Amino acid sequence: MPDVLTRSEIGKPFLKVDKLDFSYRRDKKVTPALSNLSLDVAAGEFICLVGPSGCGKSSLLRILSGLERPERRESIKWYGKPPRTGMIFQKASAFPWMTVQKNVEYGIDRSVPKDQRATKATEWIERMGLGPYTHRRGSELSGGMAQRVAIARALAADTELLLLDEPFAAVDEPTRIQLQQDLLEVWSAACPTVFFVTHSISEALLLSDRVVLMTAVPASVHSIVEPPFARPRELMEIQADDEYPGLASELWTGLQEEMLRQRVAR
Amino acid sequence: MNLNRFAGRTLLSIASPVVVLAIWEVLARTGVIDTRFWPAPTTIISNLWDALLHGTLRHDIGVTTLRMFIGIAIGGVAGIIVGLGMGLSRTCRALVRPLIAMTYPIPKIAILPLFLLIFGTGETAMWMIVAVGMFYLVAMNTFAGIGEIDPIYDETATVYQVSHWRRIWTVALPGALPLMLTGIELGIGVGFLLVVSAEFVNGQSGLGHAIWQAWQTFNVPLMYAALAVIAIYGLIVQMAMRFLHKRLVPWRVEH
Repeated sequence: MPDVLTRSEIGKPFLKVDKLDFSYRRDKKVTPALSNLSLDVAAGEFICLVGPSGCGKSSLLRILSGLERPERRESIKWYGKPPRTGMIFQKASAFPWMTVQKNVEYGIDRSVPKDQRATKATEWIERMGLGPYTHRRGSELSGGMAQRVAIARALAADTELLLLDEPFAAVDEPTRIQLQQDLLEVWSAACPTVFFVTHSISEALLLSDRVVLMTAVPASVHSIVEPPFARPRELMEIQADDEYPGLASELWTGLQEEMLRQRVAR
Repeated sequence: MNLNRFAGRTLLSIASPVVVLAIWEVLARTGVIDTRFWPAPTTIISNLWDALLHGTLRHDIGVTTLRMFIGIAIGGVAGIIVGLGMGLSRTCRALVRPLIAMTYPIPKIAILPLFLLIFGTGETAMWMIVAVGMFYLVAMNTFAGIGEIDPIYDETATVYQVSHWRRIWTVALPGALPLMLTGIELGIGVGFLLVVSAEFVNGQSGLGHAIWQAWQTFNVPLMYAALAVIAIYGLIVQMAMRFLHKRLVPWRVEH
């Protein structure tokens, strides 16, 4: 299977978010969501976004995925062509009227011949542990399974940028732990650049190369933490690491600060 | 346990009409009710049988069925197209919605004289009156069906840069299908009402014509026979629609 990035491309500049402003406009009412947000991202990086509820984390993902337009187009600068993008929402997004197979094939470019699309989808179905569910309809899947389908769909589409918006928030803990491990595995195999929104500091420290803590709304970057733990990581192992408590409390203090500011601002 | 309960319910739903018919039969035979207005079910059935074998009832059924099929096809296709158009394009919605809102409250049967003027007293007016009844229900339900689709599916299509036509085929159509089928079912019901009413006043044949004829000749059993045919029709339509629902929108039936 050809991986999305060759190993040599990892770490090269991928995206520059430069003084990004964004507001929601509805019926003349303007609600600012992001203000003066800047961030440099390298190819193949795994970034977790942490911040107060409703601070604009999802807005950033929606802009990167093309679902929303930033105030100034030049504040999103891709090095090279805009990437192929996959998005995984908190809610299940597997089409209930399609089988798992058809769901996973959905994002694959139509110029790829039909049988190759099917083969490719099958590979990712197997990799995400969905083999026995190939012919199930989307409506017949549990929450965790539906998220597996969404991840397989994104990766089968040769996604270079994978956006996950609290994807595991609605699944039970054992399922979440398994999904986290599987996500890390497919990430290290396919090497997409990842933005992962989470409310869980331990999840952020487990998964990411960098944890970006965002400010109260309208959000910008508060601070960045780089978990130094060697990969592959296990939650129990990193929690036993000497550096873990310091990083966790740094993030927690910052997050509390911003949560308080957000409450006051409202 | 569950199976027993299911069997029990099925038995009840078969038993209830049988019991009603049996009571009716007894009351008619014992002369408690006036058989001029309430002929015994056995009389109705033998009349129905007779009318089917020797009379024009078979022909009438065929004529009404054909009118229904053509009218449903015209109104259904037009309704789906307009409903999808309204659901998918703001321009189309702005253009069509006020027209539909204005004309929908008009009782469709009130348009019949106009149709008879425009299309003449032939079959076209019959098809069109069924089509009109069908059209509104299918168009409005298809439109509502698209509005009911979770935006997450549309956003998924956007993220994967799916083409316009593929989006219609993979998101809008299957997403709107459950309500579209409901619209079709309701439309067929209204279509029946319209075709039978239209046949009362304009028609040399059809089930409505048969009922009208029976009334004019005071052939009450034939009237009941025609009504029974319409009831059976309704049952068949309902069963067919339930089958279609199961086949076409199994993801909805499961919930």
